[in-house]
Amino acid sequence: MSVTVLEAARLKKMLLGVAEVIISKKDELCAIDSFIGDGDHGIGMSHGFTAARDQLAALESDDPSKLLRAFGMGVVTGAGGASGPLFGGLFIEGGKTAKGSGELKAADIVKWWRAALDYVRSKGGAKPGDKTMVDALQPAVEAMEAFDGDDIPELFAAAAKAAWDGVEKTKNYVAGQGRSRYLGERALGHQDAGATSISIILETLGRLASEA
Amino acid sequence: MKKLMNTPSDVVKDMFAGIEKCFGDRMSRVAGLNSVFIRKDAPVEGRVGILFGGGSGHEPMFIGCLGEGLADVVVQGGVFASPTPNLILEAAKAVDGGAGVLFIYGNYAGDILNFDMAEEFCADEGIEVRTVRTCDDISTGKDRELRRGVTADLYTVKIAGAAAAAGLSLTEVERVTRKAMDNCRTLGVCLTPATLPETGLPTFTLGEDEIEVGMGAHGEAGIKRMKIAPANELAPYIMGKICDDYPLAAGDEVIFMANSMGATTLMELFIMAKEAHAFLESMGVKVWASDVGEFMTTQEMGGCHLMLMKVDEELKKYYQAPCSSITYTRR
Repeated sequence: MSVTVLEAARLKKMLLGVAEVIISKKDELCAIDSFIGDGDHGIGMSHGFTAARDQLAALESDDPSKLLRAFGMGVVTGAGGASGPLFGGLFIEGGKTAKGSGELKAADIVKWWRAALDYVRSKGGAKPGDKTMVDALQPAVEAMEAFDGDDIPELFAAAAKAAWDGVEKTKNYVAGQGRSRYLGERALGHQDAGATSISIILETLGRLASEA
Repeated sequence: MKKLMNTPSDVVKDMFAGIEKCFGDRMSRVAGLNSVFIRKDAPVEGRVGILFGGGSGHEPMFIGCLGEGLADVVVQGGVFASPTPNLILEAAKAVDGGAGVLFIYGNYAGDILNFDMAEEFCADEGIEVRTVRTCDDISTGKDRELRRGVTADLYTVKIAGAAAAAGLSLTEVERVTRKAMDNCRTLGVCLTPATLPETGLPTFTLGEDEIEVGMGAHGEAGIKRMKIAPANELAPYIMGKICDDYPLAAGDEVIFMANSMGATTLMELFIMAKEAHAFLESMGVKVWASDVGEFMTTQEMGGCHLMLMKVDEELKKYYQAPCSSITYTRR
């Protein structure tokens, strides 16, 4: 069954579901991060998405813009460090693009994630190939923009596939930004945790978009 | 590593509670927050508000620069973590006297992201914000965008605080603050690692007789790991690197700082100062003033930073202006 519209209630369920998945993967994300980072990516993400879940759960609103902003602000205040604004910004930027929309269609979602990518690229300073979240996020957004159709779960699935392909490619990169840039060649063979988180988020949004 | 604390995850909250007990007569908590404090005489209508902050764990930076002639409001995050935008926004709202707010903080990825987001929130609330990021540490190389802020924080906030107290506009306060920051160059040498309160673990390892020149305030890799050498070799080496980056001519005047990273003794700092002064004298550069002590630490990291700030008459005037904080006072 095709889903072409996300109304506020479904969007809220999806975001809460993303939070639960990220929280449940805390140890896995830390383990991935321990090879090339300081091993705490999962902790920051878990704190961030716990705060996001709690802030969103407490909010009664039928405005997708407000839901996205509250969720993003939770990540910002809960995760701290650089991850807070970078991952919270994904949703805060979505909130800005969704202003005035009562419900989201495929085209709105593409706008959301393009704004998210633009924020991360301009504020974070990383380019594709730097072995960061951008290596998943950029291919994902490009896949969304190339997607022909209005089925939202399929849109997210296309994005997630491109994101996971990007994660696989990060194994071959030497880091250009973030903590692991001090490692040089020792970073080869290991995937980036931030890119992994992006893929998990997109995949989960797609899965939950098709649930009632 | 033994530390005097309670629950490790409460170190920042407990520290500020202690500061409030000792010095609550001159500062107030902002919005009931754990780690955001404002001068009791701020904001002043029509005076630029100086907002200063960054991660905890570097005391006396930043709270040690809260006071008359220095920062009006200080906002600190967790240990070695940037404060989050909501805290920075509360600080900006508290300090806004209608003449705008100057953010001063170190050039670190996490801080930039969080303070920039806060700046957006301030714009939404009609608060005009300018920003000066400190980037005095020369160890990362020529590109100033990549340089980290270490000890220049003190002189940057001193000049900003004095300029604001003198009634300068936001544009002028930013101008002279940026000039002070642009005239600072720092390089440090680390002897022993710091340990994190929460884990008790060192942030990196150094051999018994090893030192690292240019190591960052959070254990970021430096430019050269070597064996310990006498001060009369290390200080000229460091000063030489600084002067390669920022050429000084005979007759130039500088302010000199020797800063302890936390564990290094005053005795050692004064010995390094002796050698650094001799180096500058041999170049005909005049050391117009000196600061020696503990200004920006990394827990109990051993080592010191040497910093120079080239001064003109304007910077000298603001450096000499009276100031008063819990750790830095000038009459």
